[in-house]
Amino acid sequence: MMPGIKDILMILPEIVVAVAACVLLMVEFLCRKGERTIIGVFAILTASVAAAISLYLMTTDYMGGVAFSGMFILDGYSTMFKLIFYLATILSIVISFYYTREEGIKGGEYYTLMLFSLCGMMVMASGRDLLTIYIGLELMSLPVYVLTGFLDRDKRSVEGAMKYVILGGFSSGILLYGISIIYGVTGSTELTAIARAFGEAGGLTPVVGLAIVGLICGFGFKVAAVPFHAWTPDVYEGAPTPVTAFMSVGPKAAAFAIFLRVFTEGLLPVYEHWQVLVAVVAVATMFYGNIVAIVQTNIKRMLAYSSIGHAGYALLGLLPATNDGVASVIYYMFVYLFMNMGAFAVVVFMRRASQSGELIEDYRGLAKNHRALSLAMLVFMFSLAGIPPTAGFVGKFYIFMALVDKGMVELALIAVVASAVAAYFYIRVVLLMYMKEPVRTHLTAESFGVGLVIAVGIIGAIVLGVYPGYLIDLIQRVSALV
Amino acid sequence: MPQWLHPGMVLIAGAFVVPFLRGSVRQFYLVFLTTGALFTMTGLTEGVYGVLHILHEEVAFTRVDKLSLVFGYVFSVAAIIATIYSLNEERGWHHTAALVYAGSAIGVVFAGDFVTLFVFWEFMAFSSVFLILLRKEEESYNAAYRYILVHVFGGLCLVAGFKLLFMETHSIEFARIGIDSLGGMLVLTGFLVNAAALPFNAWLPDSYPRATLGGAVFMSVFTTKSAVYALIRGFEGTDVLIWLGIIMAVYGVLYAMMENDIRRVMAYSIISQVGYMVAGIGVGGELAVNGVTAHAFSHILYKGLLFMAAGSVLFVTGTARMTELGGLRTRMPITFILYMIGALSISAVPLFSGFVTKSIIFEAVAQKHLAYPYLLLMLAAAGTFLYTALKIPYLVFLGTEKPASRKAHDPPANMTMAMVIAAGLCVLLGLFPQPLYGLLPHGMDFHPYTVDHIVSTLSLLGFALLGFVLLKGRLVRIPGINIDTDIFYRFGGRAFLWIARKVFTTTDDFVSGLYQRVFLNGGWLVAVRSWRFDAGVIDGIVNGVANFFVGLGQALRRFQTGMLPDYALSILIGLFVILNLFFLLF
Amino acid sequence: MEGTLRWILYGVLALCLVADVVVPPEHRYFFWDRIPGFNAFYGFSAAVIIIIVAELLAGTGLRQDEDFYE
Repeated sequence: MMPGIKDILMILPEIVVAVAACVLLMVEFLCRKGERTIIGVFAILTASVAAAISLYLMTTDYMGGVAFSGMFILDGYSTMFKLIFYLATILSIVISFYYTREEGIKGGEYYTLMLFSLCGMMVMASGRDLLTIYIGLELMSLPVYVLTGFLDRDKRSVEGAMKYVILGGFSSGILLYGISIIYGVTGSTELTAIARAFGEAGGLTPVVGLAIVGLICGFGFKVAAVPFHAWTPDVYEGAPTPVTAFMSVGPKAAAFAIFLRVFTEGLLPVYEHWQVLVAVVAVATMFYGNIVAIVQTNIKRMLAYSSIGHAGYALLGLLPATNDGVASVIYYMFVYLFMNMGAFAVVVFMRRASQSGELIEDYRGLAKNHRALSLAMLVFMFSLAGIPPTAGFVGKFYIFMALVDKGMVELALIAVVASAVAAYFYIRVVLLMYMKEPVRTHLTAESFGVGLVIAVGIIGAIVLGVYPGYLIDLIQRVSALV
Repeated sequence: MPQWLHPGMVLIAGAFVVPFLRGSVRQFYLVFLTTGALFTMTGLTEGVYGVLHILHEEVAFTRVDKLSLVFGYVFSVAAIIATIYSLNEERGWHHTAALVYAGSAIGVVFAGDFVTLFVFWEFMAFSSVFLILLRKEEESYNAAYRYILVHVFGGLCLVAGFKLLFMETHSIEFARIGIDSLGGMLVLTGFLVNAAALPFNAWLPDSYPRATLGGAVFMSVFTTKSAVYALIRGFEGTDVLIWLGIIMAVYGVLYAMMENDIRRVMAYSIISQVGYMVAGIGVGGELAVNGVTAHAFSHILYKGLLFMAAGSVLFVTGTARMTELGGLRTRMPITFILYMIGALSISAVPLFSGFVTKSIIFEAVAQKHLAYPYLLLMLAAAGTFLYTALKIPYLVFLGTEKPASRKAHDPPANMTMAMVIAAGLCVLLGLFPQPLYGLLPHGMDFHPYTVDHIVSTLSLLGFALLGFVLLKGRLVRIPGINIDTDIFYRFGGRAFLWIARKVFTTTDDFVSGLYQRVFLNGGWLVAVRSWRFDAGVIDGIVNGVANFFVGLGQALRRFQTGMLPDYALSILIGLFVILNLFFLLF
Repeated sequence: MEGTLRWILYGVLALCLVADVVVPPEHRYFFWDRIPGFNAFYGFSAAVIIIIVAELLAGTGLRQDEDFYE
């Protein structure tokens, strides 16, 4: 079937982003030295336009349709995820303005790379074919690898980028291996065809087991699940903070998008076979992330391990393989967007002159002179810990309910224990800010943009905590997968 | 799948965080949490949610309709006010107990089936007992022990009743029950215990005055009103409740007139007002149910206010005995005014909340042409005015100062603020009852501010005031307590033990000695006393656990070597392990 | 001060009495609704009864020391 006008319209948002990125790449030459902000502004505009188009498409008849011979699907599920991506990109760019100035990062391709990554994420969310998904995955990852190393004078940044590239390629290879096995067994790389093939086939060969494990490895790497997480602390610590913020939210959500879709649509017939494996990975991830975070002294590293822990909770949402479970994971991604972005925005806000804002000790006694900032951090820490009445609590609650509904009460209980352990290091930051005396005067950014992102984060963390109904209702209505 | 968020669960989950916070962070969080719970409440829409399938039965975790919503709202508001009042409480676990208690009450109100109801009912009992224990006085330990025994008894009645009902109907849905079965009667007994109906009322004046200051405010709200809710849901229109309610109303008034400790007066006052509600439930019908709900709503606010004021007096002077107080009006003017607002509200004086709510019950009783009940309720109304708005102010705030009064001053800001909020709501409700009327379960066309109604109320109260003025010399001013229905089990228990000792004296000395030690010499009470939730014990456990995880964290971090080949190796090892797991299983 | 307060009280009460007589009751549910000034009479008697009964009950031994049970 030849691609027609309908197909083009359905991928219009992706086209917009991709084209804009290419154009912006060249526009930089037209800019005067030091006028890179304009590129960032255009990037934000691009993302906003694409978001508007995506939302509009939701109201049209194109919803639920497939394009390009079934490689691409436009549905509520992918649109919800794309909303997260747009927001992540926009918010990251906003905090980048200040950060790049402060760190002396030159090069407008910074913003362009984010746009390319965004495009890759969008393709991943809408991918209905393993190869499309793979392409999206690579398109998303390569720019992020480069962005990680953008602080070329900082050894940690360059080192982090190196590790990310090499390990990323490694896990990518394993992923491809798994994909090829599936192709060999089922004769297709398209998800519905795969599901059909598995449904018809009687027994399960060990080879398929290899494939499933390969997929878990590839996806798990991007999601930062144990034991594929090793890159996370070094990369998160080394990368420029807005990039860390970006990758902790956008690409992670995209990885979950494909994890969910592939496993819930494609591999559903072999559910019993991957259920236990994913459960084991999820539990290991939750506990490992939360326990090692306790002993960190660098807040970016702490947030990296916290990120690992949260990936564990979200993975639990994969297990019921019900629409409730899917909806709870999507909701969790939204919640995570707000609270994590907010937390990193605070870290950026604390980056000024000689104060790196990256050491947890830097926050000692912050509440004395910076009430608003420490209050913001308090909200984000509480939300990350899952303390009511914040959004973090609601996100976990929904995942637990989805588990309990399917009878998996023990997993929910384990997750509660893991949360209790995690609460320790989140609350420790809060107590450090409020209960201790400051040892130096704190320097903070004078940036409207970063402050704006912090405000957005707080609003999200609180509103989604007391009025979850509207969003969860929307998600459930549009994103049914099974 | 939840499109809802159970506000009770929000409170309960958040409650356990509190002890780990300190100082201003904790205070901020307490307000943040309770306010957040209220907002969550506003997001609830009617329906049944969270249906879990356990053991082939449908457990309806959350049933939201107009009746449960209005109780839910007032419970959340009360939780905020009572928390603000107790902000100066240093012990974190006190807040935890109080919030778990409040959250469980909300859980009871939204329970759609017996199982959920019972679980939250018991949670309420076991969390509220800490509010008594944490007073840490000798008499509080004993009172807490009796409290938990009474409530366990009530819980047993409930569970037995539920079991019998289930055997008959094979349904655990919590709806209309009625007393035509043994199961129904047992469930009614269980509810009545929590509602402090006679003869199961003595625990209330026994325990509430012996609870902590903030704790008593919490307790005045949740146990009795959630029982009222349960009675509305299950036993509306049961005639015997009319008479039971009237007996409670009058009994409460008489006993309140006799008491000397302000908080004991308030405790009997609760019994009296709950009597109105019970009577209204007995009357049945839309108007009566509306009246009971509205009355419960405003009662929570003004009773909370009164307990807060009494607590403030106790806090600054060290005593709550009317014989030891006097003339506090000059030293605690703000508290005095706020107290009077509460007193006028409970007396149903026009412009205050009681006027627009108590009258609904009266109207419902009148429409059913129940003459004696109506008269007796009027009597109780006059009596309420007498002891709350007249006797207590007369003896405590007016009059001459006694030694204890000299220490008085207006209480700390958070206590005053909480009282101001409650008082403000009482006045607002009194002036603008329509929003509350809109929340009530049934539609209603009731207008409290008619000339006739205002005039008759003012006449009733005004001439009662006259009676008071003329007879104020004959007021009961004896320090001490009233003998209540608990004499049976307090002495009964002792008598039983005395007989047992006599009978068993013939046995081995060791056995009787042990018996004496455990039961008679208060050894049991010592055990209860030493079962303290001291900050020290909990901190010790928490520190131990925390150290374990910190150590584990230190050990695990060594895996993060920083070396690329190590990371790649970890991926491979992980792959290998998972693969093996797969083959192991299949 | 006490004196003027008393006179104000009596004045208000008289007003109430007059009003109670003059204003027709809305719903005649009971036989006493037709009696003018009934509420005033009842309020006064109720107060008297309650105070006296309380005094009597307190004298019968229902009131005891606080450590009665110990």
